[in-house]
Amino acid sequence: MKKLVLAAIVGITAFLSSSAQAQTVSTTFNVNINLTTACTLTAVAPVDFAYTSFQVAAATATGGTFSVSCTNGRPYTLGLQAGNGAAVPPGAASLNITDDAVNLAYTLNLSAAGATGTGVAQPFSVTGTMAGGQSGTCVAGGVCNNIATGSTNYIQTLIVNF
Amino acid sequence: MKVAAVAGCIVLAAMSFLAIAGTGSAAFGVHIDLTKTRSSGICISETLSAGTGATVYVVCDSGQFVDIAPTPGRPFTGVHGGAYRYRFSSAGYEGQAGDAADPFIGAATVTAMRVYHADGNDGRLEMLVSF
Repeated sequence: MKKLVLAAIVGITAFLSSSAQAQTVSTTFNVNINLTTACTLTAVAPVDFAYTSFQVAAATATGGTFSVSCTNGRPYTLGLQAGNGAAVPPGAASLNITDDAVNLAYTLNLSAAGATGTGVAQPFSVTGTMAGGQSGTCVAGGVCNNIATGSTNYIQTLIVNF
Repeated sequence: MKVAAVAGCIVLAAMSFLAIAGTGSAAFGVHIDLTKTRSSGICISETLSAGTGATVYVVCDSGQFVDIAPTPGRPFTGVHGGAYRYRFSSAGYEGQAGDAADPFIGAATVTAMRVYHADGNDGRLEMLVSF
């Protein structure tokens, strides 16, 4: 019985002794984040003109909508480039083009020169105008479509610079 | 070639473009539907017929044949000019104009020329000019 009590006392003493010696150690560390800015550009809806030979009023195109999503806070600009070749930034604010199939001249512009990214999609559009009083070329009767009649310069390029 | 271009356009339209640090671009098409005003037709105007030096502009599609002519049987109104007769003789010719030639002004072509007895000295050359 004495041995048993003695052992218990020794055990409790040892436990108390170790608890009294516990300590806390800590350190700090950095979280490094390298954020690379990026922009996504949706496809641009086709720019559509409907024109009647010699119409008096200028024609305004429909379509041409697109959206840009850029890193929040990142400014960016928009530009246009004739043709579908490799983009040569920053592009132009407007384009004057004469379609080589229907022989109609038109001007393309942008709804805005640019913006600052917000992290969500921001809508824009390519606008188009075609002056009145133009004849155009249409061998067939009725309606001529520039692509169907072999236009080789109907594709243009939109550029986002950021 | 055209099929490839259209296919390329469709592919471009179906995708978004991600660009990192710098420049991104996307191609797009410009579609034009051109409607012709008329493939053929006749325009009649007499409003300028009484004046001289009138300029008439005719604008048509390229490749269209344009013919300008008076309406058959309907001379220009307000005729200017007149009838002229030239009498040939061995001594030369003398001109005679106006009513002496008893000109006819009415349904006719714009200009007319008749030669009477041009094979002899007494032959006459008559000319009706209208404008």
